[in-house]
Amino acid sequence: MAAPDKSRFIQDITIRNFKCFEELKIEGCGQFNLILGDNNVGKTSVLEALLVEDDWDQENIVVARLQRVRLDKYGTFPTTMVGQDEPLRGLVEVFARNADAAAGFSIGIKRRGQDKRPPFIMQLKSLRELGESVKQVVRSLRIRGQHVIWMKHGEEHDGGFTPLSEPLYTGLNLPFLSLKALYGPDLIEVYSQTVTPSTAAKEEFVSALAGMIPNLTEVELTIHPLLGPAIIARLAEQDLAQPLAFFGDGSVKMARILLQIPPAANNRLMVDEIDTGIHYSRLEVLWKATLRAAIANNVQLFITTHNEECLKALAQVLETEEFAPYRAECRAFTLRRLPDGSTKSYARDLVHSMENDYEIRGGAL
Amino acid sequence: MSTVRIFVEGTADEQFLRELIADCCAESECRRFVFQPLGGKDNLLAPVHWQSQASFFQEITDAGGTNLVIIDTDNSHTDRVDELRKFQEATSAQFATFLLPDDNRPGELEDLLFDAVPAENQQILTCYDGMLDCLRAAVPPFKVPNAKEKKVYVYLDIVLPDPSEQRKLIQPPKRPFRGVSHWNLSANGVEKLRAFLRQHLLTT
Repeated sequence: MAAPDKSRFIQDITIRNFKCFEELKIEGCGQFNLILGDNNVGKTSVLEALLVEDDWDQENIVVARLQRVRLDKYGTFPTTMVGQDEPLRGLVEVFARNADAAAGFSIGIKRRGQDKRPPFIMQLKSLRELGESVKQVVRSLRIRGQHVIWMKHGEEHDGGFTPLSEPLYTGLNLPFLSLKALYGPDLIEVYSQTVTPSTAAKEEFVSALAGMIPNLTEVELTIHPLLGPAIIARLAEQDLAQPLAFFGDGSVKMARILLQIPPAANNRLMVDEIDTGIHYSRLEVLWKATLRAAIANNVQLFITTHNEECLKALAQVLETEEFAPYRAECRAFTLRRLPDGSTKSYARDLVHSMENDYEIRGGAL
Repeated sequence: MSTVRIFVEGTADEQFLRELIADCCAESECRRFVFQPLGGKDNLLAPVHWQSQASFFQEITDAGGTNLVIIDTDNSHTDRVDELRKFQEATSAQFATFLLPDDNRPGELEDLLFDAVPAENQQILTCYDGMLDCLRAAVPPFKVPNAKEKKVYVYLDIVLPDPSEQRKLIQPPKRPFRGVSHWNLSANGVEKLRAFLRQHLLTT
């Protein structure tokens, strides 16, 4: 079998003026990357920055991805005021560290075996400067509890609660699992796209999920009398099939991770706080299933966690015969806020650090 | 206040140094310090670990803090200094070093502990050494493995009352060094390490 093509895997990342970062460099990424650090140091922001692709000239996708993540996380998006010749505010102001400088933000990516390309730059622009596809995204802003004030040719237009441009969202294949990404209609959609078309994919999914749900024999889509369309799980020696959501956050989280890895094939997936909702005794099960799926689909992972048990579980998994060949692909990066306010990443050898009880989760020095 | 990170070989070294710092540096004048047990000096000195270890040094330097490396000299002070120099040159890590027992002669933590045995108890160590000499001189000679660590246990076994609460704390990292008559942390042989710690840990 030919070696997987890892040329799309990110090797180095340079983030400028994005959220809390004036500048952050993360160099030497592997296939499996842990982003560690204290609260509010910017771990999730690194994952968000990775929503940018270096070979895009499609601002609309970037806008839509960042907007979606923002809405998933906070449920709101700030009121946007747009004039034909006024700078487009809102998204850039939310994500740029210093929007007043009109510098916007930039994210540079160097892939394996490639020279560094010019960074993606998102700056404040006037409506006139935007391409039609970006205008479409801006117009589709769905603000929960707020109105979008849309200025057009000097005439105020109340565009509040404009229906979301569904194709932009559902077609996004957002490679980002937020902390709150649990059970929802989109999970059913991902299931139908990922598992339903392939018997082998379904068997692998059930087999992996059985590590979290003992006696699991079958998973299928159905119309539940209370929930409507639902993923249900069937257990051995039980007639009753229960919705997956009834098996707890840990099972749903693992299902979501396993379902979103295949669509990210030959690219990357970002998972925020992977251990949330998972009992410590299941962490090795989670890691084995996650790594197995990522290896099979050639997916690069960027994952945050605060949990030492989670790190130790991964280190133990990487010492098993099955995963030891991938130990060198595992990197841990500790983010630290320095006295001058800047942020820096420090690369660690995860397995060696865990073997010797080194503290790599960041925090106060 | 900037942090001092103290790299040591293991928890036994950490515990001894914690007590020594408490003895020679008033808490109100002492910089914040954290220990990083290496799990053996090879985890620092083996080139395969250099880059990962260097990141721990660099984060302290970036934060305006100080790194201290306190490990055993073992057989040769020159060789150990040379190994640390190679690590420093390869990684640009910034740190100050003290090699046990006295940053000069060959040896390890246990040699420093023997220096901290009060004068009135030194004869115990002399007797023990005599027993080892006798074992080695036997025909054929007897095997005397890892004698220094056992020498510490034998010493404590002799000086501690039986039964006593202290006997429950005979093993590191619970072994007390302060407030007990069988260790003298102000002994001449410990003074050089005390001065090193005071130099880097005291704020004034």
